Amino acid sequence: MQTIPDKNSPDQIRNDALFLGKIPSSPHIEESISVPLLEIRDLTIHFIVHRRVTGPNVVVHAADKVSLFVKRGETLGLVGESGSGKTTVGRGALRLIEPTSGEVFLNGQNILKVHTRKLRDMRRKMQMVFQDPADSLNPRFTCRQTLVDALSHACYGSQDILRKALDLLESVGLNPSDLDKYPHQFSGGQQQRIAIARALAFTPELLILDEPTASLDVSVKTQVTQLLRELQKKFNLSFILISHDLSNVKYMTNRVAVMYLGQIIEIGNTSDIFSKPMHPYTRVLIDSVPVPDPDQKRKRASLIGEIPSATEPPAGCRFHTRCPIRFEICDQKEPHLAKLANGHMVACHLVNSSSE
Amino acid sequence: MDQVYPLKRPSIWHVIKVFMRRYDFEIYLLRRNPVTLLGLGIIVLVTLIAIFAPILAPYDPLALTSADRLMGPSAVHWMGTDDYGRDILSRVIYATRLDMVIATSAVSMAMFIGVILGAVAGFFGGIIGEVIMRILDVIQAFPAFILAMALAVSLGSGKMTIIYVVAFIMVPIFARLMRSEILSARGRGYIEAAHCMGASEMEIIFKQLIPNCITPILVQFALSMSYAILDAAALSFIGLGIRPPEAEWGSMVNAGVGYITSGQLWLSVFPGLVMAIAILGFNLLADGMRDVLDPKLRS
Ligand SMILES: Nc1ncnc2c1ncn2[C@@H]1O[C@H](COP(=O)(O)OP(=O)(O)O)[C@@H](O)[C@H]1O
Ligand SMILES: [Mg+2]
Repeated sequence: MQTIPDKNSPDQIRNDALFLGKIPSSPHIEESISVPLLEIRDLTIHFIVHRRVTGPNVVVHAADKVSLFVKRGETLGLVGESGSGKTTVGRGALRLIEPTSGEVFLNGQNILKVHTRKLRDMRRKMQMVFQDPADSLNPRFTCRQTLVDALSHACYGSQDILRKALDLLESVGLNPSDLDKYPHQFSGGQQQRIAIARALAFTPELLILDEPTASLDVSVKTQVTQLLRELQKKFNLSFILISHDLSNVKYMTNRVAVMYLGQIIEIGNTSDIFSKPMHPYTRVLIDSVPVPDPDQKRKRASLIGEIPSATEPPAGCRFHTRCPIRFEICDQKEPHLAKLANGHMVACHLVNSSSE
Repeated sequence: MDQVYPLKRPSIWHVIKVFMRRYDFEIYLLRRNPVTLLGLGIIVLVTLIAIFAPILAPYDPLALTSADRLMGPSAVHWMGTDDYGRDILSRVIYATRLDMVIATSAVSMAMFIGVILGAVAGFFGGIIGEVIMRILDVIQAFPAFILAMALAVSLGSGKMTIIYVVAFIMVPIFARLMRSEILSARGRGYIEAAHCMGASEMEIIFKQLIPNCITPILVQFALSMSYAILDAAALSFIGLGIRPPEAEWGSMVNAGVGYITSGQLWLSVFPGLVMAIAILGFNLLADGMRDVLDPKLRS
């Protein structure tokens, strides 16, 4: 059973107004609130892939002690090779997977501690946009059914639903005549627009974008990126942008977290990360971005060897097997994230020892 | 926004048109394979015969006319008469009705229970899932027909017995199929999206998962219909199902067996033939529909 919200409650009025773009979002008010919108502390997610009767289970360390926060209205980039645990962190934040340990606070409330009913309410404030839009839309639902389903979960009354659905379609740049089409009748870009519209039905505060443009054509990519930026302004959204398109991350984000084998190895303001990357892995990642101007081309560092298996991550620093500048201590002791200036944090023995 | 079209209440035809488009792919597959259409044609015919049996049958299937005993096929009795002088055509028509009722009820019951058990086992997994699947394993560990015979003996003969017994031995097939479908659908993005929307688990199972997993179940339904007909007839043939004088394909074949050596073939051949055609129809349909299951064709 869902409670029907009071039409005149301040919350509902604000939502409606935001929805229709009537009131501009006001970053000043938001900034004065000190609690970050989302805070993740020591989030650890292990997948048991094989249970053993004798001896320890075989476990994938998909995320290990991941800590990060997202402020209102900002975009946090989450980058790293595929298999580094980016999606897992996103799903863990929504509690789509039950984390092994850790804490996730949305507006100061721990989502991992709440019970079913409250969990459902909290999830609606964060929405996820998935990598493969074709997979994220129910193939048996028309666009209308998808949106109506979402809007009824967002507690809109039946008289308002159709109007809202049309508003949503308009804000993601689709036509009312698309309402009765099935997902397979749309292009990838249009499917992703529907998925975004569905997420927006909840007037969420945070959108977790899991490689939203990875499966799209180049020209469509820019359109969807542009749409996301417009929507962010219009609805005052915060984003977690999971991506390995670094030029897009540089363009879209305020801060960036770099993941390697389930751990955050560097996090900081986007400008800092791109202008002075500290971790050898971050440097390699950033060097591998194609640079348009040949004069600027830096000496390309490349990684030695393959990414190690996440079932048996290397001891010590997880990156040491591929690190060009490793020294004795690296395969013994695990480096911890150490603070530099401006909230920039790096987990690397070399950087830490030189800054001490 | 000036455009009023989507705000108007859509006409019923529009709704049906949109709904049918959902099954474009399935309809396309049916059309592509003419043999499937033949199967569908047979099934429609058999169903019509079953529904209109009282109108179609020229005689009372139970009326005894000792003067007309064991008459061969003729213009008066198209399929001849049996050893009590009953009209075989009329009996075959009524048998069609009875067997279709038994098969449809049994398979529907098995499907209903199996789909729910399989969906729960697949969605929740864990201990509930394990328990359900192990119980089904036990049922399947027995040879199906031996189990059916044992159950029929203990429950006593009759129409309801056959329905329950056949349904019972078919539940595991549907449950297994449903479970594997659910397991593969469970990780799809739209299910995660539904979780993000705050949908409840029951809602996700009934609104998202089952509608997306139902096509292979329908194929299995057609396939199971032929087995159900065969099982019902076999149980009656060995005297565990429908008792004489009621007309049933299996018991009719049984009643005629004694006259085969003396050349009065029509007693067994006609009911057997009609039964074979009905089974063929369901098999052809299922076979054509099986394309639907092929993941290579799906994309
Ligand atoms: N449901 C799961 N069961 C077992 N292992 C998983 C599961 N989901 C992800 N993994 C593993 O966790 C690791 C991180 O995966 P993922 O978060 O998808 O990485 P990314 O999104 O960065 O590509 C990978 O090694 C992957 O194989
Ligand atoms: Mg991923």
